[in-house]
Amino acid sequence: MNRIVKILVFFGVVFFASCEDELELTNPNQVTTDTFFKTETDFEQALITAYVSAKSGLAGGYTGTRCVMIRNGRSDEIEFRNDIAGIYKISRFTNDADNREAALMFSQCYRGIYRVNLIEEKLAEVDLSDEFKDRILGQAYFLRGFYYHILAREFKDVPIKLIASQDPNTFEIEKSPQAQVYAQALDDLRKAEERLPVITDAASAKGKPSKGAAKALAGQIYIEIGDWTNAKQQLEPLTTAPYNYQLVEYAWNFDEEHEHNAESVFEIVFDLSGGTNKWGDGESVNATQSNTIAKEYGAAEIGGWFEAWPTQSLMDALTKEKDLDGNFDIRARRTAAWNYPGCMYYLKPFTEVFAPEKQDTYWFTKYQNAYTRERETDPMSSINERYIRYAHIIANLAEAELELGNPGVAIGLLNQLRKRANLADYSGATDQTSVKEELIHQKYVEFAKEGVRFYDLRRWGMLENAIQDQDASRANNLAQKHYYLPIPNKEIQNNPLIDQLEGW
Amino acid sequence: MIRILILFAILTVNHGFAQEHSVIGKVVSSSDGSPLIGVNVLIKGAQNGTTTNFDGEFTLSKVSPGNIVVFSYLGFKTLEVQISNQKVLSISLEEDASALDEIVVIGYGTSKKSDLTGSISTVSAEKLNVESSTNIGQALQGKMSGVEVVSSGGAPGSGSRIMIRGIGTLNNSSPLYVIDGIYMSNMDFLNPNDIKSISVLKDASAAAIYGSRAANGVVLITTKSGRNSDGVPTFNFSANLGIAKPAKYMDLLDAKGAAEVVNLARANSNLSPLEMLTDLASKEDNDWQDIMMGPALRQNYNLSLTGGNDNFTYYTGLGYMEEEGTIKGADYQRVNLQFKSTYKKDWFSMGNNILLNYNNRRPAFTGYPRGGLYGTILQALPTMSIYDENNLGGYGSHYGDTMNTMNPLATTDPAIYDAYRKNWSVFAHLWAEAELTEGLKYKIGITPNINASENMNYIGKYDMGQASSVRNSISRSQGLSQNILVENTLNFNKTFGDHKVTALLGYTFQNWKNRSLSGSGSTLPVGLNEINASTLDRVTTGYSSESAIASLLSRAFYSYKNKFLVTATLRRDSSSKFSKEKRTGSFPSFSFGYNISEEEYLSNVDWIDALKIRGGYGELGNQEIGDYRYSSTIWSGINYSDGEGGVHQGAFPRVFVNPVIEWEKSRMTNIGFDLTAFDGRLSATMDIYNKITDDILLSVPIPYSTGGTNDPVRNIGAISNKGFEFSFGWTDNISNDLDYWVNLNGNLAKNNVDRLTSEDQVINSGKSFRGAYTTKTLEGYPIGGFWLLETQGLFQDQNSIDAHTQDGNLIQPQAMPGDVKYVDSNGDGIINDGDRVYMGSPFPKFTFGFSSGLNYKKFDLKFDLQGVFGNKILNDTRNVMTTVTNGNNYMASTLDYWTPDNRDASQPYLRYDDPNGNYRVNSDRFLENGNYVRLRNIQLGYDFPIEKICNKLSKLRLYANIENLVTITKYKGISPDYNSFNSYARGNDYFAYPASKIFMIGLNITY
Repeated sequence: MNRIVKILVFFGVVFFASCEDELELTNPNQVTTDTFFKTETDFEQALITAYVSAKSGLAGGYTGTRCVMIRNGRSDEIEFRNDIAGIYKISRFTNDADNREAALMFSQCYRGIYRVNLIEEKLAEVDLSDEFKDRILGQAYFLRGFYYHILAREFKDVPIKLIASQDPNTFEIEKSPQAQVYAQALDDLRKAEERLPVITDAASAKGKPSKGAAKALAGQIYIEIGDWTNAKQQLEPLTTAPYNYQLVEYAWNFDEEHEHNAESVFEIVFDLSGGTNKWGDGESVNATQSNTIAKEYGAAEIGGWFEAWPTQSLMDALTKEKDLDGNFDIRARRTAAWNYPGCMYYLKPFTEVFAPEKQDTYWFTKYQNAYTRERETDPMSSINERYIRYAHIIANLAEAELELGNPGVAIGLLNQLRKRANLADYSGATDQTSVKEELIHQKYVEFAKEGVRFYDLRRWGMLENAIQDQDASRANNLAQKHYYLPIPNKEIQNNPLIDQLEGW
Repeated sequence: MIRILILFAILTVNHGFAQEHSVIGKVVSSSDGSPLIGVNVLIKGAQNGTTTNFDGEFTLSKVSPGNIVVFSYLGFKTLEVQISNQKVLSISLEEDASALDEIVVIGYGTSKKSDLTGSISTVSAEKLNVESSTNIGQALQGKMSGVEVVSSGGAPGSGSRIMIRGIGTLNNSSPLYVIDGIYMSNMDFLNPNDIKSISVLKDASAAAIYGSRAANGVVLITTKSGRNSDGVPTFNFSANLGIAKPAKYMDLLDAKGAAEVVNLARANSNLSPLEMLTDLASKEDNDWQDIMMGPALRQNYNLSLTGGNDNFTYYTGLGYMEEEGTIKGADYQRVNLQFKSTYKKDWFSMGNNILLNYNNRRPAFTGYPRGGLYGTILQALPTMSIYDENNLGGYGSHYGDTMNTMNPLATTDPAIYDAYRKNWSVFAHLWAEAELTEGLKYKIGITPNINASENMNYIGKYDMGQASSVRNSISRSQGLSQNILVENTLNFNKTFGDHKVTALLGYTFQNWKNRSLSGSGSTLPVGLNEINASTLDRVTTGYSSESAIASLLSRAFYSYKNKFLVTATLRRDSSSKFSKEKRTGSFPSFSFGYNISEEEYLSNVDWIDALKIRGGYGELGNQEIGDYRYSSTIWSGINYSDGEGGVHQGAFPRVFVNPVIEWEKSRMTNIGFDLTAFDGRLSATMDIYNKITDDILLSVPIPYSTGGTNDPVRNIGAISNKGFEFSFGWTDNISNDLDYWVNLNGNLAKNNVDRLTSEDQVINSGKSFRGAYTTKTLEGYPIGGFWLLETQGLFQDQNSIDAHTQDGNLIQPQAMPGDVKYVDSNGDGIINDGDRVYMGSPFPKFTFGFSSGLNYKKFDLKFDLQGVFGNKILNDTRNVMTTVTNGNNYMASTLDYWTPDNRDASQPYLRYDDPNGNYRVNSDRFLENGNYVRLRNIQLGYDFPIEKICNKLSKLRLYANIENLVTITKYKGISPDYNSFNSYARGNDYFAYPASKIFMIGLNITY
């Protein structure tokens, strides 16, 4: 009996001891963090993920389709139907703090910021060349500035996070006033500008920022906060050497064939490389690198999902002035399709595509494949988003000059845009108010559906009137609080130090 | 009859002197006269003895007049007969109704019911409706107090889930299933006909031996084994055929109604009428529920054989089951095989139990944006045509300003959608047991298990307007998982006079390995569905994982004079899911029992057969979270185009982890009593329990500003479930021909969050499709309690809108007459998330089961009722089906919309863009009572007097069964029997698959 017990105990101990190692199991599918952030490749790969946060279509990337809808949806240039409920609500000013698309935009910005923060922290700890570190940090700071800019202009007062931490004790954080957030963005862009190269050949940039891009974005911020002097200081150098930006044929800015042209300052790349999953959060190897946006704005007749179309208000502005050859403004013809003589829509005459009772409809063609394909079939478009192009710099500089009391210089700049569109030079009155009106009009026509108009109307105090003119029932819903999006509820619920934006 | 025979025997006795002689005779069962095989026939005090043969006959030699012959047989009352001179005896033995000696299966062993100190409920196969049920969950429903069985959706093959004494842990509320000692994650694939009995270990002291896996209770299932039949097999065959029908259809609009409601809502927002809802005369008017839902056939067939002799017992079972869905397009088939045998020779025995299972499921198409296939059927417009030859694929489509959902009928067409999920599994339990010395046994068991799965999804080419698939595509995946369990146990059992001691010591180790591989491609020739046939977009993924657990277990039981009972258990577990420092947990438990009925003063009380009070305390652990949660890893594949046709590789430690997560601990205290009385006719049990789960493993939401992509798991908080449960049973016979039984059980329970990491922590959850939060988990309230906006009817005029102010400002400035009036609960002048108030719990306060049966001659009738009270359900389905803001179909109740002439309306003023937020789901307008009483089952059977018809068979029973015949409830949704199994949002009904009424007939043959 004793012997038996001894044998069993022996076996028990042996089993137990040998099995202890069997319990130390690590994930065979992924590498653990303690071996990462050591080599140059590690940092380059980590940096790439900070770009992905700017792009993912369905998870809140600012240049991805849903955020483009939010950026355009609150202005008077576009009208949405109720297919994507969250977008519809934002566009009709009936949204609330539970809105999914706005929450994704908010969360994706912070995701990008976290990535930059961690890269910055880990770079300081590692022993690599200064030249490499600057190369990484230049891009990282640009992206952080980009994300803080978005947060400030969309959500007004938000938390500023400069440290990457998973410790729950760091999760509670107060929000900072908008001016401080803008200041943080400008500081990041300055640090980026110091490190980024001047890229004269846009084709070699391929989706990466350059010194010019940092200055252009800083200029945009200064315009938004009304600091004209600094805006001019940032933007004017971009009009001469060593910068080589030029206005190209208008259509080249929105097609696939002429990506990375001379007008492009900062572009986000979409193409058919990558996987086939269009509907995830864009962060797996199977995720597509393409954009669903083209199919979304197409008419049903050519296989689109007809989510939105130009408003009468936009069409009136686009068709106001004809060009030197007596045609409609090229910018109108490359922004929208409507029933004008010779109009082609997806390679067929407009009048043939649409049934008689639908001849009065308007459809967007900017960023569509309307000039190269007969139908939108797969929701996979590879047209890059030109987030900043030289025309933006021209228009912003014109505004800065105008506000600084140089209407003549402003007119000269606006004439560059007019000339590119084959219009006659500006011949109206040269007083402040008139030139301002021309600036407003040119920006409307030049940048339709590029996510510019709403922010301009807001800061010019013109939003209520513009919406009222476009659709009275929509204007009825519009209140002061709709100038900004509310902080998403999940943030309010789990961050006790933060309180909701006033009015929400 | 017996008396006459004995008299006759006495009369034939030889008078005079005592002589040794032989006695012959036959022993039968008193209940049905069947011969009893293997009955021990002994002369009391002598070594002389024999057993009965296959015909129940025996020959006992060297009997002297005056000897007492003892007839004893397991399960029957022992009979003693004094012999004088008779030579022939006819003996009839009565079944032993005493439930006390009933053997109950407990963890790693068995125990007499009288020795139990924990809270255990058992049910035997006869009491379960095994014949008509295709899964065991249905068979168990309402049979045991504290055991709640809910179907996990009515889709074919979806099985059921069991919750024991409420939710304790939040991540996985399933109990541990142990089938003949084999651990399984669910029991859906097991054939109910193979089951002999089910024991549910409800409290910690009973379940403690299973330690870390038992925090939600343990369900022990014992399948049938062979019996000593002298090697002769008994065959059993059953066949069941039935029809399932949807229990309830939703009342929806027809084309005319939809046109009225949708076009009015659009007009009120300045929009033109919906193209699909104008010119109705030129369009179809389809009832999509009628087209897609209907009666479905289900059938199952079982064949088993069982038998054995002294050294060898065997059981073999085969089963086949097939079920169609009440919603077209889904079905399920299952084949089960079980081979079980035991071999015994003196002190050594060995055995095996091999379970093979194959199942094949065709699932419904899941690519819909709202509510799955069921949601799409309900929302499809009546004017969508069924077929349309102009569309690629041939089916009608939605067009115009409608949602991009598919034509539901198209998904049943294999050219448009085809899929299957196949699964093969093998469990082989091999064991050997040796009796080392008297009372000490060593047992070793090895259970390897292999599970292979193969899935396929094919999507064809079709164009249904916005829902279109330009290229066909195929995806296939295969998974292989293996697990092996090794158990060593030492069991000691000895009785010394008044003292009885049993002890168990054991060591077990289990390891799971899982590997899956999948591939997909697109653009294949029509008719082929292999990946090699695809010409574009080939993608492959592969994944593996492993986890392991090692445990030391021990248990000791002591009883004194069968009166005082004590059990103590200690278990130590180590899991690979936690880091080294936190890996091991110790789980003790202790319980006592006091058989009051054994006391002198009570043994004279006739009507009490047995009365025991018992109490216990135990701690159990839980580790049911995902693997590798404690260590941070790098995710790769976060790529970005390089602008040259390729991608830049991206990688980042994306997931937020918690390196200090550890075991979740459940502490349970239980006090109860068991009573058996009136010669076993009455049995009663009552228990009071308090179950506290501490260091709960929860996924806790973190703010967006942290930059995290997930909500990491942490140990926070304590949740308690307090309750009282009772069970009464009565069985009696009114006459020789008529006997009946009645069983009532009930459970009163309360769930409460005792503590989270801080007093003011609140976890918001229950997020609806549109992003609104409906539940909160915080201190002092039940988990996932409903916190919603309070409403006060509809504004009837502009004055009431203008009167609804705070500090002079309108609270609802965008409202119009007919809009919903919300209460500004926190007084800040705005209707927002901060105005949500507590409105009820998704947990029932009281549940009961009542069942009864009676047997009259050859007929038997049984039924059971089930009832649930006190819980609330959020009818998210009704919210979606009355939110008139899209171009789809709605409930007929939307016709009752507000107008100045219809002020007492249930539907607010119809406005497409809804600026007032009338359709917010997180309001009390959609919260309903979940109370219901349901006639779960009613069955009538007839036992044919087979010996008169055909002597080739020994039993033939025919029966008819109706399931879910009647449900009494005020709940407006499809079925109140709903549990989403999401801990934070248990009561959110979002397009739950409709429940069915099932009519079955069957027959049972034994030979």
